[in-house]
Amino acid sequence: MARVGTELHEAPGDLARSRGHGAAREVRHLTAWRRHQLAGWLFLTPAIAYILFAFVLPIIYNVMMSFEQTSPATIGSLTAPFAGLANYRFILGDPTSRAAIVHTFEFTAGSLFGQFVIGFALALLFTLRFPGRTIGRSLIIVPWLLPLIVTGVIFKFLFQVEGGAVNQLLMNVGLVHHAIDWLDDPHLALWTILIANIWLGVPFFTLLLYSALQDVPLEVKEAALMDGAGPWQRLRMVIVPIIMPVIEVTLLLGFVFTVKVFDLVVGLTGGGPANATQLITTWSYNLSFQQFSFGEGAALNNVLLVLALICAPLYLLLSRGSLRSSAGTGS
Amino acid sequence: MPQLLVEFGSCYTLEKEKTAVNQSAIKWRRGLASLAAATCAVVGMSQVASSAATKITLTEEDYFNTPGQIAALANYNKQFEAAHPGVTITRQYVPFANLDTKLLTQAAGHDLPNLLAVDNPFVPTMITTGQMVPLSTLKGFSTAGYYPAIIKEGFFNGKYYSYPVAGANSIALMYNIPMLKAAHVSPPRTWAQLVSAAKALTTPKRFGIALTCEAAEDTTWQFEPFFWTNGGSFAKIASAPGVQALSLWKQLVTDGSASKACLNWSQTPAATGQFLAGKAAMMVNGPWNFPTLNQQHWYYGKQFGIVPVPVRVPGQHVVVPLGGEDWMISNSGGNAAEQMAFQYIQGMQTPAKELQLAKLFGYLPAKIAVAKTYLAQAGPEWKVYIDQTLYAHPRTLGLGVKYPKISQAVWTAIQAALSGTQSVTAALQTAQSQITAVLKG
Amino acid sequence: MNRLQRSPALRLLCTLAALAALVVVLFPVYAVIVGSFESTQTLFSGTFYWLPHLPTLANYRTVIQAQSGNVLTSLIVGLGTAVLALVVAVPAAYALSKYRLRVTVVLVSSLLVCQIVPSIVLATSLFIVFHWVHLVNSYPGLIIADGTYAVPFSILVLRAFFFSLPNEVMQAARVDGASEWQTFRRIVVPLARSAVVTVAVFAFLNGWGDFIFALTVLSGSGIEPITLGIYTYLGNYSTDWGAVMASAAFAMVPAGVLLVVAQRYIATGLTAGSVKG
Repeated sequence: MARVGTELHEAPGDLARSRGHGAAREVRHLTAWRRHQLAGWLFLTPAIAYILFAFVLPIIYNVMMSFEQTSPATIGSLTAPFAGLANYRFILGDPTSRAAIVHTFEFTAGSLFGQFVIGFALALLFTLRFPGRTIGRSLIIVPWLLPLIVTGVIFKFLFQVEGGAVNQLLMNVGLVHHAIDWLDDPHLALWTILIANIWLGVPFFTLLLYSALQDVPLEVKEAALMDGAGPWQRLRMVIVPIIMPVIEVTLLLGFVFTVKVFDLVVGLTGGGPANATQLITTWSYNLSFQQFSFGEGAALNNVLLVLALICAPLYLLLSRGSLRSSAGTGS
Repeated sequence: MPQLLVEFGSCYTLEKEKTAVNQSAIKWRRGLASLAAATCAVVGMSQVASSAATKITLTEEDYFNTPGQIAALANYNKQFEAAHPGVTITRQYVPFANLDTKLLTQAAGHDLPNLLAVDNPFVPTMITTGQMVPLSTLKGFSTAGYYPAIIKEGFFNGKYYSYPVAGANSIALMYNIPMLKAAHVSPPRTWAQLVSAAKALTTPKRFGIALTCEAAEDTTWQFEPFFWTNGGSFAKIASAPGVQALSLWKQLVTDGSASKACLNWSQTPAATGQFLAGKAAMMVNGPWNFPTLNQQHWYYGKQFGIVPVPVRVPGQHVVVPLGGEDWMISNSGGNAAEQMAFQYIQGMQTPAKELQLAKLFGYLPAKIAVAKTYLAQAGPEWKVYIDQTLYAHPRTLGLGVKYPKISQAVWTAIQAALSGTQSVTAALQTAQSQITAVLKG
Repeated sequence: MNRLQRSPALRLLCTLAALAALVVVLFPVYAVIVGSFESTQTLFSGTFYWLPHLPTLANYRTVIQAQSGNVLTSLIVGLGTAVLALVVAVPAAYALSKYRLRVTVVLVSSLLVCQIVPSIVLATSLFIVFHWVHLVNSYPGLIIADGTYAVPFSILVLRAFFFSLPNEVMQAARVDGASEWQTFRRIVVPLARSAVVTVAVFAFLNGWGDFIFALTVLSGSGIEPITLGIYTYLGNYSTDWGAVMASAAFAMVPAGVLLVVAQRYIATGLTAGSVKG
């Protein structure tokens, strides 16, 4: 940053010297343009350096590792013997890895569905005028602000078999007679982490959809009302089409967030019982850091990366507005 | 000069206590205080060599968590520091299920602690990281007097890499005497008796038995006595002996005699905690629990009894895995630290020290002569353990670095079967294919 | 809609519905706070108490003793992440919005893609890469790793903000003879104050709440943020729920404070970063 400062400080002098010389106008323009370019690049330097070091390098290294045969004997060195496709073959053959991929799809689909339905309902609710809506709206984002591991731990506490608030409430109300094994029953545990993740993600959906709903012009709503459209029709035919771009982006980001979920599951179930809640992220962590098969972990990471990046073109397409706006805004 | 006086003084009082220890050697259950004495006496002898006032901090990592183990280490560390001015021992506790991971993470960063107490099945893996100091190259190392199976745990490519921490151990069936009496059940000796006893002992408030089924080595270790005694071998885990043994565990869970929550339970402290809280009438566990039990006023013959792990067919010879940890020294600290770390573990290998530590840890001493002294003093609660530990089966025998991967396949199968995600046979077949791949690779 | 809104019964119904939603949303937080004042015995008793059964400060005493260093660590990491995000993002966002550079489209696209990359993918590699550049077990290492959440997000949010700054402001400064750097520092940054605060708040929360990088790039003893401290209590099997609850309560404090102090920045950041970015 200091370098940026000094070099730019010299610039005004150049400019002053060339000022007034009519013949130097062309040169001056060129200098200004070059100065503009140089300053822009210097402003970008830290960001480019950071992206190369913190994103590009690890991703390349991860691809490298996925083709290496790693073991405790090689963990102290930067490279390991070439392994061909062995790690990928392992991932495809390993029952836990395959289950983790399936769980990830189930978990992501379920989360998005739940988060969208509840989030949209709440967003609609908050567009209505009623006492307490402002405070309600500001408090609803609390889950989004908590550290994810804390959320995991809280739900682990609430979903305990004995003495867990959820079971106690259900039994008090009389909905169930026996305590439910939320976390230790492998058939239920995936549902439990799903519930926790929906709780976690709803505020995000609510807030984004709410702000989109706010942007729907009042005249449009009133016009629809005049046409005698019922609430459901109004929503489906008028409002949803208008906010569709936001819905798309929200679902896309929701997908990206959910496919990455790690902390929550680690805090809640640790991938158990019997790997029933093992997601790609948690199992990849397990392969790399618990079993020290970094090669296998890296291969699974790449599966996840490909899965997440499938969205990238779609995301770029949806964000094209912001990409384009960069074109015409020179100084 | 003042330093010297202080040391002289403290060793004087300790010398007095040491005599007291010898007089009441048999009453070593209250040995916490006297431990300090013997330590100082032993360590004191070697202090001349290290009077140089260089500052060295030795970090030590382990998973010991019983009161006896904690006190034993704390006292030894204190005494060692007193005898070696300028040396600080920093103990780092890591839960059992995390220690192997932590050690390898640190190895990856060339950042291992100076001293490692490694679970014996993991010793070969640690050696292959290339960051362990071969102890047999250091002055004063000797294998003389040790049970060969124990000292060989750290033998690799003609060099020895470890000393036992406090000896060896194994597991057996511990039961709650009042509960069994009240239910008119006698301690089970066969699988059939185990099933019916566990059922009879189960009430709405407690389970018949606490199993250990967490995703870690202690689950495999708990399974091994049932599996090996029944004639099983890992190479053929999906054949009859394995299926029968896992079906037994599965039945205990299906009957409701064992809690499904065992999928999250470690052997110690989780299962022990269930047993002590009266939430489980039986558990398979080891003698390191004695200090904990005694501290809670549970005594052998009154509150708890011990029988060997039950067998499927009467007359089967009980085979248990050989348990215990080994001291290893990493090369992360440089020469001076390595030498000091070696002094640290060597100080524990003298007969008197070994006896003390074994008592507090609840282990069987690793030297034959010391074990004999120990047996002469040991109470009746030790009988089962002593009889079987001397013939226990080392887990890495013939498997070496492959054992941890095999063990993982086994505990994964156990978890899958008990949780109901897979049938017993399907779970073991999955494990079979994984183990076959590991053995081939 | 307005017709419906006039009915008081309906408005009451709306309030009740919102209240029900809030109860579900806030209950877990409430449970932690109640739990943090319970004795561990009560927490183990197999009964859930809706109000503290036998209130005690024991958990807080335990946690303050064991975790106050970790809270400090988390503060340093959170602040460090905020500083890193600002240092990298403010100039970059400025360049990407106000300079005509050939790299802009490529860079903005890659920032969008960076937001998608799962942390575990980075963590596994960073763990090994960091060992070779001696960044493991260090604050700079953890902060650089935590920046992977904050940096792309911050650039995109700030960039959206800079678009709203009229170019004339900068033009005027240049005419007055200010250099590019002076324009940026004296004119642009002060104008962007609110966006900068938004970004800093989010970056802080990212650093404070990070768990996965703390778990992976801190391999040894020494630096331990509070998120890792909580996890260690869980790893001990005989889960000390009292201590877990009290440390969870500590970990929630910044969220609470920021919710009160920086409410509007949070709402802006959430929407701006996602939709407009």
